[in-house]
Amino acid sequence: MNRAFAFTLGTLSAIGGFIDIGDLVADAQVGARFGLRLAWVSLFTVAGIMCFSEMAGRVALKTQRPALALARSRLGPRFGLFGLIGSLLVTALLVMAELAGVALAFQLATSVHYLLWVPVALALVLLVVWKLPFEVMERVYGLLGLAMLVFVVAVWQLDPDWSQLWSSATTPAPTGRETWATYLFFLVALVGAQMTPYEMFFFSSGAVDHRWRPKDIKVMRANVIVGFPLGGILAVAIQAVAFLVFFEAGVRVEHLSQTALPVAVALGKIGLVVAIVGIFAATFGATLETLFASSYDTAQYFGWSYGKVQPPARAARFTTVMLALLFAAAALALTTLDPITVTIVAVVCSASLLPFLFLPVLLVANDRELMGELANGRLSNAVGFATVTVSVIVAALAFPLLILTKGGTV
Amino acid sequence: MSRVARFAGAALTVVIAGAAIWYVSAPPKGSDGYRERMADATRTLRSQVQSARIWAATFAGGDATSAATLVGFEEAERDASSAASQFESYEPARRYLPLRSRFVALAADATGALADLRIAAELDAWGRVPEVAGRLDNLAASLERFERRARR
Repeated sequence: MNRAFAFTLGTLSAIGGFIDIGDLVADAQVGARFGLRLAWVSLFTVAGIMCFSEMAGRVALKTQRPALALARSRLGPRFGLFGLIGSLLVTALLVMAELAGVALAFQLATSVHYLLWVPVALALVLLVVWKLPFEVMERVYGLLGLAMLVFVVAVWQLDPDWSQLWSSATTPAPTGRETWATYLFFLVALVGAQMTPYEMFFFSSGAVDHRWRPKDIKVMRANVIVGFPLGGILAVAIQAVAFLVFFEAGVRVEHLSQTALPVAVALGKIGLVVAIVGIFAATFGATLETLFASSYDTAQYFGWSYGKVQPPARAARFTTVMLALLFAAAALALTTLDPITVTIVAVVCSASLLPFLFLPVLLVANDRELMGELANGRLSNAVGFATVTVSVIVAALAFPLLILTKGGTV
Repeated sequence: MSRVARFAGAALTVVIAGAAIWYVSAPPKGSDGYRERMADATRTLRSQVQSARIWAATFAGGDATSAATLVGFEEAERDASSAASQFESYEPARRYLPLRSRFVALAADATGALADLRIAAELDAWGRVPEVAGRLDNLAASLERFERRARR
């Protein structure tokens, strides 16, 4: 049993990070408009985020310090501050979007407007952060998030023409009714949604919190190998069901409820309820992850004591940052800003930050003096350099495409 | 970095951000721009009509909960109304007045049908939903034809 539970950090990182509100929305939008023509992006993002999470995990195992904190101490405070401010701004937007996602899941279950659920979601997050131990928290949300597998079952139940799906997946180009600019914009959005930097922060800081040592490298790698590919499979399944139900009808996905609708079409009420539970777990898990990642990040930069395993009073500044961020996110959500628009902007901003967050980790993991026998091998370097190169191109294209396509609405 | 360079960098950022906001939110430019916006608004209406139709059919088949279906209807009505009212606020060239009138009529039909669906669901008159949803098929087809016409 304990072995099964050893994978929950990876599962929570993947389901709460890989499949968060950004992915739930972006994947359904992409599936409805492009079919599986952008599914190949998930292969790249899974490989990239696995590579960097494993790298960051390895650094944490060897040094008992998160990779980014080490990188910053070497690259100087200016570079570190730039990365910190950038990632804090993006993650703060994501906390708001994830919290609204939890409220939207409640709305789907009850039909009561999501704004009334925002304070309830806030109270639930507070309760979990304050009362639940880290391991229980990751186990509960890691396991509940497995409800998202209902999207995979729904693909089968919709009885698709597999050759049509394959043909769509092997055509990396826009459909006749879409432009290349929109195709590339959604490519950027998928990269930003699936390779969110906070997954890496959370995973490596969680490894430090778990007090993993070099002997735990197999557990750490198993978490990476189990968690992130699972996220990738779920992402492609969401694209596939949206394609099968919405593409012919010309529906453009604008709401979280539309992400769940294909599951109801395929599996009925029970499927819909399971999908809502999965959406709740994914967005709730992501709220916790984004909160912790931002607080870890800030505390590590300023050298404060931090960690969920410590009582709040012993990591007072860490806890204060977390609470301030949570209340600010709830206040922002209550302004009636559309959470889906915020999500799309946040994932594009996130995509533009990737090279600034990946490169330092790559440098530290290559430092043989520091890492010894756990330094990067050829495979890690090859995948790492390829990921950084692609992320530089994606970062350069992110804002021009956001403006040119008006956030993918044209 | 010198103070002048910093100031120039900040000024350039403000100019680029302003231009981007203007590009994203400006009303349509010229007759091609007007037709393009009309086609885009029609596509949004069709998307919302089709979304509500799928929710209604799924509910009628006993496959969706009433709570989720009501949420689907509310969102479809809100988005359709917003797309229609935003487009209707643009000033057309005189020669596009007949085309605009056709759009306004179609948009009124679509938002009216979506409101009827939402009201039936809110009043718990779920028996009326299939009857109202029956209008959505024809509406979607009309909107598709109109969108093609607007894009020509």
